[in-house]
Amino acid sequence: MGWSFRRGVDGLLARAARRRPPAAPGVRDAAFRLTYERFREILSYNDVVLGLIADLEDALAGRRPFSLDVVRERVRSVALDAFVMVKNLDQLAGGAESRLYDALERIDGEINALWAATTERLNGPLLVPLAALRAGDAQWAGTKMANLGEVANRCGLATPVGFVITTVATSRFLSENGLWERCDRLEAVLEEGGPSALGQACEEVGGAIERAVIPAEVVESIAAGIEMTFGSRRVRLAVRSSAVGEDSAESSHAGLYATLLDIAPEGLPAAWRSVVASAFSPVAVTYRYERGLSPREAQMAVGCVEMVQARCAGVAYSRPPDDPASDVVVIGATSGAGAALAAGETSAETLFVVPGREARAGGALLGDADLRWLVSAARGLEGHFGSAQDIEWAVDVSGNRFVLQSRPVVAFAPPPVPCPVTDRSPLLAGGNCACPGVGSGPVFVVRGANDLPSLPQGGVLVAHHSSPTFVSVMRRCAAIVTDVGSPTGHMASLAREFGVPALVGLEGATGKLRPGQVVTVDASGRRVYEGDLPLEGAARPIGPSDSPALEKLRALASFVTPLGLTDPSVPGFAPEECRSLHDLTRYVHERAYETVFHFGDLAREDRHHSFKLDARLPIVVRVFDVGGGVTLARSGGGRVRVEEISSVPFRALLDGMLEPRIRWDLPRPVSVRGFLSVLGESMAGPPAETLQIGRLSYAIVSDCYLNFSTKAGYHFQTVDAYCGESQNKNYVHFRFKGGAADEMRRQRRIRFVSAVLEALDFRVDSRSDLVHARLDKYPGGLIAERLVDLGHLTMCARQLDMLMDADESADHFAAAFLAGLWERF
Amino acid sequence: MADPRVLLVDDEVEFLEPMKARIERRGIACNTATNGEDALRALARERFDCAVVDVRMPGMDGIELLRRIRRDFPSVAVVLLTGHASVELGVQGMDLGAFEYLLKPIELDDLLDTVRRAVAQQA
Repeated sequence: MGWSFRRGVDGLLARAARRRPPAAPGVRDAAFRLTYERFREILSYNDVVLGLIADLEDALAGRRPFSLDVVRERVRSVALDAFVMVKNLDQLAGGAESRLYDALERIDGEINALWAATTERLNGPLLVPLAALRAGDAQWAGTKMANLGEVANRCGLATPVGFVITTVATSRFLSENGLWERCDRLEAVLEEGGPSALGQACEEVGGAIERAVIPAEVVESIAAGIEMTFGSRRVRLAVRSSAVGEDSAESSHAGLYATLLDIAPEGLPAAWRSVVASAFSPVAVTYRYERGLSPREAQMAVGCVEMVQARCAGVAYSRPPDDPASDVVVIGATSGAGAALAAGETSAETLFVVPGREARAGGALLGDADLRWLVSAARGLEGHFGSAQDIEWAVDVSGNRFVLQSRPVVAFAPPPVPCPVTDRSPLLAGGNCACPGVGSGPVFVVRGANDLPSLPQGGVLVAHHSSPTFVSVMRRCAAIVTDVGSPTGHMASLAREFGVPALVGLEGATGKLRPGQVVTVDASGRRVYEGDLPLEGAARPIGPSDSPALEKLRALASFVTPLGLTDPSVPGFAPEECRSLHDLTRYVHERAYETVFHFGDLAREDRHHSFKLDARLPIVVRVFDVGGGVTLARSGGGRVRVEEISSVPFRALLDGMLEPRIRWDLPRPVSVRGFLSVLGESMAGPPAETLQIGRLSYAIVSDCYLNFSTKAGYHFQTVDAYCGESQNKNYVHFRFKGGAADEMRRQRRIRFVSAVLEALDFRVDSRSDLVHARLDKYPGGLIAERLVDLGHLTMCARQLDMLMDADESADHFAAAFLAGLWERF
Repeated sequence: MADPRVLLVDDEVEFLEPMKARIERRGIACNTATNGEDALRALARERFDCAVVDVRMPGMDGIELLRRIRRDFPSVAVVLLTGHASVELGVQGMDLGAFEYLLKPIELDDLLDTVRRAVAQQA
């Protein structure tokens, strides 16, 4: 090729610099430039929307944690981006696309309606006596107190007397003190700054809540509630959180919020405020973040009940959590109050009682009559609530029996992985299974909450006693082992919720297991083995399989991610058919290209036309010139030769694409397996992208600008670049989205593309099946060099997935590409 | 074409005055009003090509002002500017014939570009 690349670019750059647009462009030029700018704005917003879609898909697939509030903010801003896209298209089309506004308003309205259900409640009672509560009152009273009201009023079981200070009181308190916004921000702090930043931020927010003034009406309601419930009796109160959604079967929040005991009535307002503040402790924020619950959704009510002077207290499961089918009631008991037991700090007496055979259960703390009452209460509540129940109970010094709370047993999500049969003798045996399953990894001993952030991915958490604070690492640890702790404690509930195999009460674990030693924990078999025993079946899925927030996210995503408009050539490709923001942006994107196309037809001057590129390439490229991108040697048009392209970035890209040593025209060593896999996937359901863009590739060019989109092989890619004199404006933006081929091959292809782009200094962000790469503010010469590289990549990656037979092939091809060994492709 | 004249309407004086000064420094004549009624009086008094209107103002809001300008002064292009954007307001504004709907904060150059376009379009 006669055109020396480097010299050519420098020459073009110099020419572009001399040919600056006139200072006062005429109206026609202004309109023309406006079209181009609006078009470019559409393209850039299109990328923002696609980024959100990829993020939502990742969150839905459990590949990344999410916070509903952060998602909500992003969806709101993306809806606005979609608005700007719609507006620009309608302006480009001279008002011919105004029906899109209706479609956007409809979708936006549906999204807003979804949020409206979760906005804070500011109207309603501030305080409700327990005697008036039913299960249906959870929106005001929180789940725990509403259920306790149900127990007291509908099940004929004794509970302590008391009342609930409602979510309305909490909302007014936080609103009047302007605290919501600060609380809302905590999840973003965690997302951006990690656990260390969160601790500091939570301390500040907690402090602000503790100092905030309690509204007078709340103080008055509390005084009236005490008077009405207890009269002049001197009582001591237990003050406990009762958040909306807390203690549900899907999300226990077990042990995350504060419970304050032995509070005198005059201290109640301050105690109430402290419990409200506990909703914003690091562990609570982390838990909600991991489960995707928003602070406003997990609204806090606070239960206040008379303290029971307990002789004996504990928990009862109407069914064993690890074996819900068996006819056994599991009872944990300890002398005195039950708090230490639930917190996992002391071993308890655990009894497995078969209904009707209470006398055989043994145990030192409870008599037969107590056991019979507990078994009947547990099964009665199970019958009433319709699912296995996890009950807290107490027997006072006079022998009166109380139910303190009742909630569904948190069932473990994934089926336990069977432990491999082994002849090896275990390092340790015993303890209680808190969550069945098998996990292996290096031992990491946790002596306090400060050690948690250092726990490695896949580590086995070993601790002296169990703690709900472990929730912050439950996503990444392989198993949990503790010396002390109860399978009926809070941590056990959380472990089951997250599906982490957990073995508690295993004496000597911290002494015997050395940090770094690789062990396999068989929680179901209550054994710990040395080494990494091969596991049958798949690894446990990361994170909970389902949660209220995930359901909400799914509902939300249904207005954002689905792509129904795939084929622009059918009548259904219309604003009325847009069901999601994806549909909408897809429509705008497609129409924007068309509009620019027609704009070219409408324009009088030749340079406003589009051209067919005359080049030896396996794709048809149509070129739109939006200003100085084409220098025609002849008049008329229809076709443009490569030498007539004066757009610096496009010329560079073409230079790479036309590299003669890349022999796309020769048959290549196609692997049969690869080819079949491509076929198979295509038949299973053609990937939307292959239908999306017609066979044509488009290049929109000016002297310094290029937007090139092409479907090469089975993927779709866009290069958007600006390459001029002003270094600060220069960029290359590359987007690559796969299609066809099976998941494995797609991932290898993504890995190949990412590896190449990273080696070329791009900032690369790959998610799902989408690679985004950016290079900003580089000198024009370097930007042009990278465009040559992208030209090579465009041709080499065409059908690469057919060659991607093994995991190492991605790295192998990346190395070959970077070395310029084109014959390999 | 006569030099373009712009009317800035915003209840936030701390936004209004610096913006006016910067626009004038670029050689574009600029007047200000801090509410809808004042804006309508100014429009009745003098010729303007373009009104840049904040959407959220106490009393007559930007949407209502847009409605009146389109009715009584149809030759004046209206650019809506807002810091509290919503899809609903945006769609409403464009439906009522706003020339452009811009989000604060905005670069002066971008605002001036829009003003020039608005003026060019009206001409």
